[in-house]
Amino acid sequence: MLERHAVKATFFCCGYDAEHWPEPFREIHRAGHEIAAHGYQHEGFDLGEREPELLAKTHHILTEVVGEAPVGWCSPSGRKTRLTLPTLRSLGYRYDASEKDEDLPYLLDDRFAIVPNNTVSLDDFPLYFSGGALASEVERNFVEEFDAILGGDGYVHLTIHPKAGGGSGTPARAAAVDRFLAYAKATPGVRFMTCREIADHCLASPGAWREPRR
Amino acid sequence: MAGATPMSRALLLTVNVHGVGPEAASQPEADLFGRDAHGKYTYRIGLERLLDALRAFGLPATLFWPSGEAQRMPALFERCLRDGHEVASHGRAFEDHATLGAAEDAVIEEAHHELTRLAGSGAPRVPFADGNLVGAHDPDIATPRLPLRFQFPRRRRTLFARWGWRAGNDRAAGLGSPDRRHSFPPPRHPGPGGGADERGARALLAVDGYACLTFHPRADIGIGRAARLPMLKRLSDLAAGHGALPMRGAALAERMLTVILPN
Repeated sequence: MLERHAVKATFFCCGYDAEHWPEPFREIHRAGHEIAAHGYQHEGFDLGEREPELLAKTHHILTEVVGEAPVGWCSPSGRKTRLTLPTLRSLGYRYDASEKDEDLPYLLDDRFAIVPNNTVSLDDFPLYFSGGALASEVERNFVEEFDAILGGDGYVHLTIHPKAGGGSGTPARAAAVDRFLAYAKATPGVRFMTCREIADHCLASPGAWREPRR
Repeated sequence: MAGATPMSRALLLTVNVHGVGPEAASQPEADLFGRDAHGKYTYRIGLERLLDALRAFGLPATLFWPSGEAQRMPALFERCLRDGHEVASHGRAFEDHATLGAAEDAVIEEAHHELTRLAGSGAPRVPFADGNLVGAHDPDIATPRLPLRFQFPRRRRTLFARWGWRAGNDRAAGLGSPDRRHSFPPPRHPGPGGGADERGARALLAVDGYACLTFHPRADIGIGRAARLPMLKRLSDLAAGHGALPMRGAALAERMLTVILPN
Protein backbone atom coordinates (compact mmCIF):
# COMPACT_ATOMS: atom_id res chain seq x y z
CA MET A 1 0.00 0.00 0.00
CA LEU A 2 2.75 2.43 0.95
CA GLU A 3 4.63 1.55 -2.20
CA ARG A 4 1.54 2.04 -4.32
CA HIS A 5 1.01 5.48 -2.82
CA ALA A 6 4.75 6.24 -2.97
CA VAL A 7 4.70 7.16 0.70
CA LYS A 8 7.69 6.73 3.00
CA ALA A 9 6.83 6.00 6.61
CA THR A 10 8.59 5.62 9.95
CA PHE A 11 8.44 2.10 11.38
CA PHE A 12 8.91 1.97 15.14
CA CYS A 13 10.39 -1.47 15.70
CA CYS A 14 11.01 -3.64 18.75
CA GLY A 15 14.51 -5.03 19.17
CA TYR A 16 13.27 -8.53 19.98
CA ASP A 17 11.32 -8.78 16.73
CA ALA A 18 14.23 -7.61 14.61
CA GLU A 19 16.58 -9.93 16.47
CA HIS A 20 14.47 -13.01 15.77
CA TRP A 21 12.90 -12.14 12.40
CA PRO A 22 15.34 -9.73 10.78
CA GLU A 23 14.34 -10.07 7.15
CA PRO A 24 11.07 -8.09 7.22
CA PHE A 25 12.93 -5.19 8.84
CA ARG A 26 15.61 -5.29 6.15
CA GLU A 27 12.88 -5.23 3.51
CA ILE A 28 11.25 -2.23 5.14
CA HIS A 29 14.57 -0.44 5.24
CA ARG A 30 15.41 -1.35 1.64
CA ALA A 31 12.06 0.10 0.60
CA GLY A 32 13.25 3.46 1.90
CA HIS A 33 11.27 3.65 5.11
CA GLU A 34 12.76 4.83 8.35
CA ILE A 35 13.55 2.26 11.03
CA ALA A 36 13.20 3.72 14.54
CA ALA A 37 13.25 2.16 18.01
CA HIS A 38 10.22 1.06 19.99
CA GLY A 39 11.60 -0.85 22.98
CA TYR A 40 13.01 -4.34 23.13
CA GLN A 41 9.79 -6.20 23.85
CA HIS A 42 7.43 -3.25 23.82
CA GLU A 43 8.14 -2.54 27.47
CA GLY A 44 5.66 -0.08 28.81
CA PHE A 45 6.57 0.35 32.42
CA ASP A 46 9.35 1.58 34.59
CA LEU A 47 12.35 -0.64 34.00
CA GLY A 48 14.48 0.90 36.70
CA GLU A 49 18.21 0.71 36.22
CA ARG A 50 17.81 -1.79 33.36
CA GLU A 51 16.34 0.82 31.05
CA PRO A 52 19.63 2.10 29.52
CA GLU A 53 20.73 -1.47 28.91
CA LEU A 54 17.55 -2.32 27.01
CA LEU A 55 17.59 0.92 25.04
CA ALA A 56 21.16 0.22 23.97
CA LYS A 57 20.40 -3.42 23.19
CA THR A 58 17.56 -2.52 20.84
CA HIS A 59 19.64 0.23 19.31
CA HIS A 60 22.47 -2.15 18.47
CA ILE A 61 20.14 -4.86 17.14
CA LEU A 62 18.36 -2.47 14.78
CA THR A 63 21.67 -0.98 13.66
CA GLU A 64 23.09 -4.42 12.91
CA VAL A 65 19.98 -5.74 11.17
CA VAL A 66 19.40 -2.86 8.77
CA GLY A 67 22.90 -1.40 8.62
CA GLU A 68 21.89 2.04 9.77
CA ALA A 69 21.56 3.40 13.29
CA PRO A 70 18.10 4.61 14.33
CA VAL A 71 17.86 8.25 15.36
CA GLY A 72 14.29 8.19 16.63
CA TRP A 73 12.47 6.48 19.47
CA CYS A 74 8.89 6.13 20.57
CA SER A 75 8.02 4.83 24.02
CA PRO A 76 5.64 1.88 23.77
CA SER A 77 3.55 3.29 26.62
CA GLY A 78 4.33 6.95 26.22
CA ARG A 79 6.19 6.90 29.51
CA LYS A 80 9.73 7.99 30.13
CA THR A 81 12.02 8.19 33.12
CA ARG A 82 14.90 10.41 34.11
CA LEU A 83 17.18 7.91 32.37
CA THR A 84 15.42 7.77 29.01
CA LEU A 85 16.41 10.92 27.18
CA PRO A 86 20.02 11.05 28.45
CA THR A 87 20.49 7.47 27.26
CA LEU A 88 18.94 8.17 23.87
CA ARG A 89 21.10 11.26 23.43
CA SER A 90 24.23 9.32 24.30
CA LEU A 91 23.29 6.79 21.61
CA GLY A 92 22.97 9.54 19.02
CA TYR A 93 19.18 9.88 18.84
CA ARG A 94 17.81 13.14 17.49
CA TYR A 95 14.13 12.85 18.34
CA ASP A 96 11.56 11.33 20.66
CA ALA A 97 8.10 10.58 19.28
CA SER A 98 6.49 9.61 22.59
CA GLU A 99 4.89 12.82 23.75
CA LYS A 100 1.23 13.63 23.29
CA ASP A 101 1.28 17.09 24.78
CA GLU A 102 1.21 19.12 21.57
CA ASP A 103 0.03 18.91 18.00
CA LEU A 104 3.18 20.48 16.57
CA PRO A 105 6.75 19.24 16.80
CA TYR A 106 9.07 21.28 18.98
CA LEU A 107 12.65 21.25 20.23
CA LEU A 108 13.93 20.51 23.70
CA ASP A 109 17.17 22.19 22.66
CA ASP A 110 19.17 22.71 19.50
CA ARG A 111 20.06 19.03 19.28
CA PHE A 112 16.88 17.16 20.17
CA ALA A 113 13.35 17.28 18.80
CA ILE A 114 9.99 16.15 20.15
CA VAL A 115 7.71 14.77 17.45
CA PRO A 116 4.38 14.32 19.26
CA ASN A 117 1.92 11.64 18.25
CA ASN A 118 -1.82 11.60 18.69
CA THR A 119 -2.76 8.35 20.40
CA VAL A 120 -6.18 9.72 21.11
CA SER A 121 -7.65 10.07 17.67
CA LEU A 122 -5.00 9.47 15.02
CA ASP A 123 -3.91 6.01 16.11
CA ASP A 124 -5.79 2.90 15.08
CA PHE A 125 -4.93 0.82 18.15
CA PRO A 126 -7.14 2.43 20.81
CA LEU A 127 -9.95 3.03 18.38
CA TYR A 128 -10.17 -0.63 17.42
CA PHE A 129 -8.88 -2.37 20.52
CA SER A 130 -10.51 -0.42 23.34
CA GLY A 131 -13.14 1.40 21.40
CA GLY A 132 -14.50 -1.35 19.20
CA ALA A 133 -14.92 1.10 16.34
CA LEU A 134 -15.80 0.05 12.84
CA ALA A 135 -13.37 0.59 9.99
CA SER A 136 -15.75 3.08 8.45
CA GLU A 137 -15.86 5.08 11.69
CA VAL A 138 -12.10 5.12 11.97
CA GLU A 139 -11.70 6.20 8.37
CA ARG A 140 -14.19 9.00 8.82
CA ASN A 141 -12.45 10.07 12.01
CA PHE A 142 -9.07 10.16 10.25
CA VAL A 143 -10.51 12.32 7.48
CA GLU A 144 -12.21 14.63 9.98
CA GLU A 145 -8.98 15.06 11.94
CA PHE A 146 -7.01 15.60 8.75
CA ASP A 147 -9.37 18.28 7.47
CA ALA A 148 -9.49 20.10 10.80
CA ILE A 149 -5.71 20.02 11.25
CA LEU A 150 -5.16 21.20 7.71
CA GLY A 151 -7.20 24.28 8.54
CA GLY A 152 -5.01 24.97 11.58
CA ASP A 153 -1.62 23.60 12.50
CA GLY A 154 -1.15 21.73 9.23
CA TYR A 155 0.72 18.81 10.76
CA VAL A 156 -0.86 15.36 10.88
CA HIS A 157 0.84 12.46 12.64
CA LEU A 158 -1.00 9.22 11.90
CA THR A 159 -0.05 5.98 13.63
CA ILE A 160 -1.01 2.63 12.13
CA HIS A 161 -0.42 -0.86 13.49
CA PRO A 162 -0.24 -3.85 11.13
CA LYS A 163 -1.88 -6.28 13.56
CA ALA A 164 -5.37 -7.67 13.28
CA GLY A 165 -6.80 -7.07 16.75
CA GLY A 166 -5.71 -3.55 17.59
CA GLY A 167 -4.59 -2.46 14.17
CA SER A 168 -5.35 -2.08 10.51
CA GLY A 169 -4.04 -5.40 9.25
CA THR A 170 -7.36 -6.93 8.25
CA PRO A 171 -8.73 -6.25 4.75
CA ALA A 172 -11.50 -3.82 5.65
CA ARG A 173 -9.27 -1.84 7.97
CA ALA A 174 -6.36 -1.80 5.54
CA ALA A 175 -8.76 -0.55 2.88
CA ALA A 176 -9.77 2.27 5.22
CA VAL A 177 -6.14 3.33 5.57
CA ASP A 178 -5.70 2.97 1.82
CA ARG A 179 -8.59 5.34 1.14
CA PHE A 180 -7.32 7.78 3.73
CA LEU A 181 -3.88 7.87 2.14
CA ALA A 182 -5.46 8.44 -1.26
CA TYR A 183 -7.53 11.27 0.22
CA ALA A 184 -4.51 12.88 1.84
CA LYS A 185 -2.38 12.48 -1.28
CA ALA A 186 -5.05 14.12 -3.40
CA THR A 187 -5.11 17.18 -1.13
CA PRO A 188 -3.09 20.02 -2.64
CA GLY A 189 -0.02 21.06 -0.72
CA VAL A 190 0.22 17.92 1.40
CA ARG A 191 3.65 16.37 1.74
CA PHE A 192 4.43 13.03 3.38
CA MET A 193 7.51 12.96 5.60
CA THR A 194 9.13 10.51 7.97
CA CYS A 195 9.63 11.42 11.61
CA ARG A 196 13.35 11.77 10.97
CA GLU A 197 12.70 14.26 8.18
CA ILE A 198 10.36 16.24 10.42
CA ALA A 199 12.89 16.26 13.26
CA ASP A 200 15.71 17.33 10.98
CA HIS A 201 13.52 20.02 9.45
CA CYS A 202 12.90 21.46 12.91
CA LEU A 203 16.50 21.07 14.03
CA ALA A 204 17.65 23.01 10.97
CA SER A 205 15.67 26.06 12.19
CA PRO A 206 15.87 25.90 15.98
CA GLY A 207 14.69 29.46 16.48
CA ALA A 208 11.38 28.66 14.87
CA TRP A 209 10.76 25.35 16.59
CA ARG A 210 11.77 25.76 20.21
CA GLU A 211 8.36 27.27 20.89
CA PRO A 212 6.48 26.91 17.60
CA ARG A 213 3.41 28.79 18.84
CA ARG A 214 5.25 31.80 20.22
CA MET B 1 -37.42 24.74 34.52
CA ALA B 2 -40.25 22.59 33.24
CA GLY B 3 -42.83 24.47 31.27
CA ALA B 4 -40.29 27.11 30.41
CA THR B 5 -41.36 29.88 28.13
CA PRO B 6 -39.11 30.74 25.21
CA MET B 7 -37.92 33.80 27.13
CA SER B 8 -36.67 31.64 29.97
CA ARG B 9 -34.82 29.10 27.88
CA ALA B 10 -31.14 28.87 28.63
CA LEU B 11 -27.99 27.18 27.53
CA LEU B 12 -25.28 26.88 30.12
CA LEU B 13 -21.81 26.33 28.68
CA THR B 14 -19.45 25.09 31.33
CA VAL B 15 -15.81 24.10 31.17
CA ASN B 16 -14.19 21.87 33.74
CA VAL B 17 -10.57 22.93 33.67
CA HIS B 18 -8.80 19.61 33.65
CA GLY B 19 -5.08 20.02 33.34
CA VAL B 20 -3.58 16.97 34.90
CA GLY B 21 -7.14 16.03 35.76
CA PRO B 22 -8.82 14.03 38.51
CA GLU B 23 -6.77 10.97 37.68
CA ALA B 24 -3.89 12.55 39.59
CA ALA B 25 -5.89 12.21 42.77
CA SER B 26 -5.34 8.46 42.69
CA GLN B 27 -2.03 7.93 40.90
CA PRO B 28 1.31 9.70 40.61
CA GLU B 29 1.14 12.63 38.25
CA ALA B 30 4.37 11.60 36.52
CA ASP B 31 2.71 8.36 35.43
CA LEU B 32 -0.01 10.28 33.61
CA PHE B 33 2.06 12.50 31.39
CA GLY B 34 2.85 11.05 28.04
CA ARG B 35 0.05 8.55 28.27
CA ASP B 36 -3.41 9.94 27.74
CA ALA B 37 -2.24 13.28 26.43
CA HIS B 38 -4.42 15.10 28.87
CA GLY B 39 -2.07 16.82 31.26
CA LYS B 40 0.41 18.95 29.43
CA TYR B 41 -1.81 19.21 26.39
CA THR B 42 -4.23 21.42 28.31
CA TYR B 43 -1.38 23.54 29.60
CA ARG B 44 0.37 23.86 26.24
CA ILE B 45 -2.54 24.29 23.84
CA GLY B 46 -5.87 22.77 24.89
CA LEU B 47 -7.28 25.52 27.10
CA GLU B 48 -5.95 28.33 24.93
CA ARG B 49 -7.58 26.73 21.90
CA LEU B 50 -10.90 26.38 23.72
CA LEU B 51 -10.78 30.01 24.85
CA ASP B 52 -9.97 31.04 21.27
CA ALA B 53 -13.02 29.13 20.06
CA LEU B 54 -15.33 30.65 22.69
CA ARG B 55 -14.09 34.08 21.66
CA ALA B 56 -14.45 33.35 17.95
CA PHE B 57 -17.99 32.04 18.40
CA GLY B 58 -18.96 34.83 20.81
CA LEU B 59 -19.98 32.39 23.54
CA PRO B 60 -19.84 33.27 27.25
CA ALA B 61 -19.02 30.34 29.47
CA THR B 62 -18.59 29.37 33.09
CA LEU B 63 -15.18 27.86 33.76
CA PHE B 64 -14.87 25.67 36.81
CA TRP B 65 -11.32 26.06 38.03
CA PRO B 66 -9.63 23.85 40.58
CA SER B 67 -7.43 26.30 42.44
CA GLY B 68 -4.41 24.09 41.79
CA GLU B 69 -4.91 24.35 38.04
CA ALA B 70 -5.34 28.12 38.30
CA GLN B 71 -1.98 28.27 40.05
CA ARG B 72 -0.40 26.36 37.20
CA MET B 73 -1.97 28.45 34.46
CA PRO B 74 -2.10 32.01 35.82
CA ALA B 75 -1.94 33.61 32.37
CA LEU B 76 -4.84 31.55 31.07
CA PHE B 77 -6.77 32.17 34.29
CA GLU B 78 -6.35 35.91 33.75
CA ARG B 79 -7.34 35.60 30.12
CA CYS B 80 -10.47 33.75 31.16
CA LEU B 81 -11.48 36.76 33.23
CA ARG B 82 -10.45 39.25 30.56
CA ASP B 83 -12.55 37.42 28.00
CA GLY B 84 -15.58 37.91 30.19
CA HIS B 85 -16.12 34.34 31.26
CA GLU B 86 -17.27 33.45 34.71
CA VAL B 87 -14.71 31.86 36.98
CA ALA B 88 -16.24 29.33 39.31
CA SER B 89 -14.70 27.05 41.86
CA HIS B 90 -13.99 23.41 41.22
CA GLY B 91 -12.30 22.59 44.47
CA ARG B 92 -8.60 22.47 45.07
CA ALA B 93 -7.27 19.43 43.20
CA PHE B 94 -10.16 17.20 42.16
CA GLU B 95 -10.95 16.01 45.64
CA ASP B 96 -13.81 13.59 46.05
CA HIS B 97 -16.06 15.63 48.28
CA ALA B 98 -18.04 12.61 49.28
CA THR B 99 -15.02 11.30 51.16
CA LEU B 100 -13.66 14.49 52.69
CA GLY B 101 -15.79 14.44 55.79
CA ALA B 102 -14.88 17.16 58.25
CA ALA B 103 -12.12 18.42 55.96
CA GLU B 104 -14.56 19.51 53.30
CA ASP B 105 -15.11 23.02 54.65
CA ALA B 106 -11.42 23.73 54.66
CA VAL B 107 -10.91 22.48 51.12
CA ILE B 108 -13.73 24.59 49.75
CA GLU B 109 -12.60 27.67 51.63
CA GLU B 110 -9.00 27.26 50.59
CA ALA B 111 -9.96 26.92 46.93
CA HIS B 112 -12.27 29.90 47.18
CA HIS B 113 -9.67 32.14 48.74
CA GLU B 114 -6.95 31.09 46.33
CA LEU B 115 -9.15 31.79 43.31
CA THR B 116 -10.08 35.14 44.83
CA ARG B 117 -6.42 35.97 45.36
CA LEU B 118 -5.51 34.98 41.79
CA ALA B 119 -8.39 36.99 40.37
CA GLY B 120 -7.00 40.07 42.11
CA SER B 121 -8.78 43.08 43.46
CA GLY B 122 -9.01 44.72 40.06
CA ALA B 123 -10.69 41.77 38.47
CA PRO B 124 -14.40 41.56 37.89
CA ARG B 125 -16.38 40.31 40.84
CA VAL B 126 -16.19 36.58 40.73
CA PRO B 127 -19.37 34.81 41.76
CA PHE B 128 -17.81 31.52 42.65
CA ALA B 129 -19.78 28.40 42.41
CA ASP B 130 -18.80 24.85 42.96
CA GLY B 131 -19.25 22.14 40.44
CA ASN B 132 -18.00 19.33 42.59
CA LEU B 133 -20.86 19.13 44.99
CA VAL B 134 -23.47 16.91 43.54
CA GLY B 135 -25.90 14.18 44.40
CA ALA B 136 -26.25 13.46 48.07
CA HIS B 137 -24.27 16.47 49.18
CA ASP B 138 -26.08 19.21 50.93
CA PRO B 139 -24.51 22.53 49.94
CA ASP B 140 -25.76 24.19 53.09
CA ILE B 141 -23.54 21.95 55.14
CA ALA B 142 -20.42 22.62 53.20
CA THR B 143 -20.51 26.27 52.36
CA PRO B 144 -22.19 28.37 55.01
CA ARG B 145 -19.41 30.95 55.30
CA LEU B 146 -18.84 31.60 51.62
CA PRO B 147 -20.89 33.61 49.16
CA LEU B 148 -21.61 30.62 46.96
CA ARG B 149 -24.78 31.13 45.07
CA PHE B 150 -25.37 28.05 43.02
CA GLN B 151 -24.55 24.50 42.23
CA PHE B 152 -25.43 22.56 39.16
CA PRO B 153 -27.47 19.39 39.25
CA ARG B 154 -25.04 17.77 36.88
CA ARG B 155 -26.16 14.23 37.06
CA ARG B 156 -29.73 14.91 36.17
CA ARG B 157 -29.61 17.59 33.57
CA THR B 158 -26.10 18.06 32.39
CA LEU B 159 -24.97 16.90 29.03
CA PHE B 160 -21.38 15.87 29.03
CA ALA B 161 -20.33 16.91 25.61
CA ARG B 162 -17.26 14.80 25.57
CA TRP B 163 -15.70 13.17 22.64
CA GLY B 164 -16.91 9.64 22.41
CA TRP B 165 -19.75 10.21 24.82
CA ARG B 166 -22.30 7.49 24.76
CA ALA B 167 -25.34 6.86 26.87
CA GLY B 168 -24.27 5.37 30.18
CA ASN B 169 -20.64 6.12 29.54
CA ASP B 170 -19.54 8.97 31.73
CA ARG B 171 -16.18 10.45 30.83
CA ALA B 172 -14.47 7.45 29.28
CA ALA B 173 -14.52 3.72 29.26
CA GLY B 174 -12.13 2.00 31.60
CA LEU B 175 -11.21 4.79 33.97
CA GLY B 176 -10.56 2.25 36.64
CA SER B 177 -8.49 0.03 34.42
CA PRO B 178 -4.99 -0.78 35.68
CA ASP B 179 -3.57 0.41 32.39
CA ARG B 180 -5.50 3.44 31.26
CA ARG B 181 -3.16 4.07 28.39
CA HIS B 182 -5.61 3.14 25.70
CA SER B 183 -8.90 3.42 27.49
CA PHE B 184 -10.64 5.60 24.95
CA PRO B 185 -14.09 5.10 23.57
CA PRO B 186 -14.32 5.10 19.81
CA PRO B 187 -15.28 8.22 17.93
CA ARG B 188 -18.96 8.60 17.41
CA HIS B 189 -20.07 10.57 14.43
CA PRO B 190 -23.45 12.15 14.05
CA GLY B 191 -25.92 10.01 12.20
CA PRO B 192 -28.98 11.29 10.38
CA GLY B 193 -30.55 12.40 13.68
CA GLY B 194 -27.35 13.97 14.95
CA GLY B 195 -24.88 12.66 17.50
CA ALA B 196 -25.74 11.61 21.02
CA ASP B 197 -24.96 15.09 22.29
CA GLU B 198 -27.22 16.69 19.72
CA ARG B 199 -30.08 14.31 20.36
CA GLY B 200 -29.71 14.82 24.10
CA ALA B 201 -29.59 18.58 23.82
CA ARG B 202 -32.59 18.64 21.54
CA ALA B 203 -34.61 16.50 23.95
CA LEU B 204 -33.61 18.51 27.01
CA LEU B 205 -34.37 21.83 25.39
CA ALA B 206 -37.75 20.62 24.25
CA VAL B 207 -38.73 19.37 27.69
CA ASP B 208 -36.94 21.62 30.15
CA GLY B 209 -35.90 24.59 28.06
CA TYR B 210 -32.48 24.24 29.63
CA ALA B 211 -29.34 22.37 28.76
CA CYS B 212 -25.97 22.44 30.48
CA LEU B 213 -23.09 21.47 28.24
CA THR B 214 -19.84 20.59 29.91
CA PHE B 215 -16.57 20.68 28.01
CA HIS B 216 -13.02 19.81 28.91
CA PRO B 217 -9.89 21.31 27.36
CA ARG B 218 -8.01 18.03 27.36
CA ALA B 219 -6.90 16.07 24.35
CA ASP B 220 -8.13 12.63 25.25
CA ILE B 221 -11.63 12.94 26.62
CA GLY B 222 -12.17 16.59 25.96
CA ILE B 223 -12.69 19.03 23.17
CA GLY B 224 -9.11 20.26 22.93
CA ARG B 225 -8.32 18.74 19.55
CA ALA B 226 -8.93 20.92 16.53
CA ALA B 227 -11.32 18.43 14.96
CA ARG B 228 -13.61 18.53 17.98
CA LEU B 229 -14.12 22.24 18.43
CA PRO B 230 -16.83 22.52 15.78
CA MET B 231 -19.01 20.58 18.24
CA LEU B 232 -19.12 23.72 20.38
CA LYS B 233 -20.60 25.80 17.59
CA ARG B 234 -22.90 23.06 16.39
CA LEU B 235 -24.48 22.55 19.81
CA SER B 236 -24.77 26.23 20.64
CA ASP B 237 -26.42 26.83 17.26
CA LEU B 238 -28.79 23.98 17.96
CA ALA B 239 -29.70 25.52 21.32
CA ALA B 240 -30.20 28.92 19.73
CA GLY B 241 -32.56 27.28 17.28
CA HIS B 242 -34.62 26.22 20.30
CA GLY B 243 -34.57 29.73 21.72
CA ALA B 244 -31.93 28.96 24.35
CA LEU B 245 -29.12 31.49 24.43
CA PRO B 246 -25.90 30.98 26.37
CA MET B 247 -25.82 32.29 29.92
CA ARG B 248 -23.20 32.23 32.62
CA GLY B 249 -23.99 30.13 35.66
CA ALA B 250 -24.20 33.07 38.03
CA ALA B 251 -26.67 34.90 35.80
CA LEU B 252 -28.82 31.82 35.52
CA ALA B 253 -28.72 31.33 39.27
CA GLU B 254 -29.70 34.94 39.84
CA ARG B 255 -32.61 34.55 37.49
CA MET B 256 -33.76 31.49 39.35
CA LEU B 257 -33.36 33.16 42.74
CA THR B 258 -35.00 36.45 41.85
CA VAL B 259 -37.51 35.63 39.14
CA ILE B 260 -38.44 32.00 39.08
CA LEU B 261 -38.37 30.96 42.73
CA PRO B 262 -40.34 33.92 44.12
CA ASN B 263 -43.10 33.05 41.70
